Amino acid sequence: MAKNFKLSIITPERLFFEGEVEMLVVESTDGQLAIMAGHEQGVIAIESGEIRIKQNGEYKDAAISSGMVTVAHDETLVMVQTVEWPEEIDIRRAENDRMRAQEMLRQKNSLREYHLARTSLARAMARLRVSKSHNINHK
Amino acid sequence: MSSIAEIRHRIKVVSETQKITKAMYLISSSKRRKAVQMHDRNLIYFNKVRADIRFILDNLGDVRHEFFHPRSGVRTAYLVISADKGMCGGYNQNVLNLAYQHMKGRDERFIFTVGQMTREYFERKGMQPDVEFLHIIQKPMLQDARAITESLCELYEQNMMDEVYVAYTHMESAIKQTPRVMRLLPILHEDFDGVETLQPGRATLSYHPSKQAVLDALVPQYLVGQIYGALVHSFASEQCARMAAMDASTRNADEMLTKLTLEMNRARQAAITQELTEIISGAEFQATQR
Repeated sequence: MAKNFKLSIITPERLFFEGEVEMLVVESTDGQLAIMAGHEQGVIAIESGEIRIKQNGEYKDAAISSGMVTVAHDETLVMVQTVEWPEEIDIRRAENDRMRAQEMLRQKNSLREYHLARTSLARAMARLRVSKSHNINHK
Repeated sequence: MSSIAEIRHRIKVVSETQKITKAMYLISSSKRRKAVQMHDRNLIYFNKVRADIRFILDNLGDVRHEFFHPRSGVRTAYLVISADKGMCGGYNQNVLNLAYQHMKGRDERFIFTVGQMTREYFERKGMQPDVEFLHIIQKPMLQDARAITESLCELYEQNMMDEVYVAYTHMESAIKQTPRVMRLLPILHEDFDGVETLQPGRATLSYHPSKQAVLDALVPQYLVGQIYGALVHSFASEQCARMAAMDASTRNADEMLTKLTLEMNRARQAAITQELTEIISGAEFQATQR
């Protein structure tokens, strides 16, 4: 039995997840990174993508926006803008977001809009990836 | 004594006004329920993000990052959050006056407004707002906070300003809301004194992939969280204030109606009495004539 650690995943809009878990896998700027109990204290910048939470031997996936992970001695804190379970993702909305973001990128009006478009494209792609790997179809 | 028609007219006006205040009371009470729910959900993040920043600042050591260093100038930007409409007691005035007081002595300033009342207030004072964010406060959303953060960060990075403050109304409870001015940028350790941290004591932290990248990620995360928090706090406060104000005016209307009804009954009775007297005296007069 692996050792557990306390994990909370929060966004400005809600407390997404709180509980004792075995392992957390996040995507950093240079690839995937796993965090287990007793991980070195530190701060990790993460990209839009998937996170995996291992709890009681089972993996749960979620789509996440960029943000950061703080590993403290007694708890690990994930702070992001948005995070969704696969079943919460509305594929059609994500697909629309992706198209809109791509369109905005194509037009690329200003640098600020470019940044907004790029991050929202990354979020939309992550959502689609997570929900497709879970085969959820919203009709 | 005013005439019966006059009193009847006033009763009609008052009861129509009361209908409006009652409706507004109901609307804001249902909005308030939503707002308080948003507020409660945000509170965890609002507090945790501050605890996290404190934790990182405590262990940061020496760092060169423009968002964490005070600048020497006095150019100040204000994000002032008020409502789009009045009818909510002193809610707007309180936060606007506080912001105005804070601005005194800072001559070079930029004003970012959220809410129509902020714009009107500063225009009346002869201070033209620089950027207006419209339609946000009627339903604050995360993407609004994100857009505000982007434009503030951009101006700060271009070295257009030295400090950024947000003026908002903090909801402490359903009956107590206090206006506050909070510094957003630069992020200084002194602002986090007394903030609960993740774990007391010092530790060496690792930064992945680099200190710079982590701080780059941290700043928007923190700012979006704080700005969204300020919007939600203000929104919830506005609804609470409006509910209280509308409740009070509905009760006032009730009082007025009671008074006016009494007055009207008296006037009616007086009129009947007078009519009776006239009839009786007329009848008596005719009897004596016969």
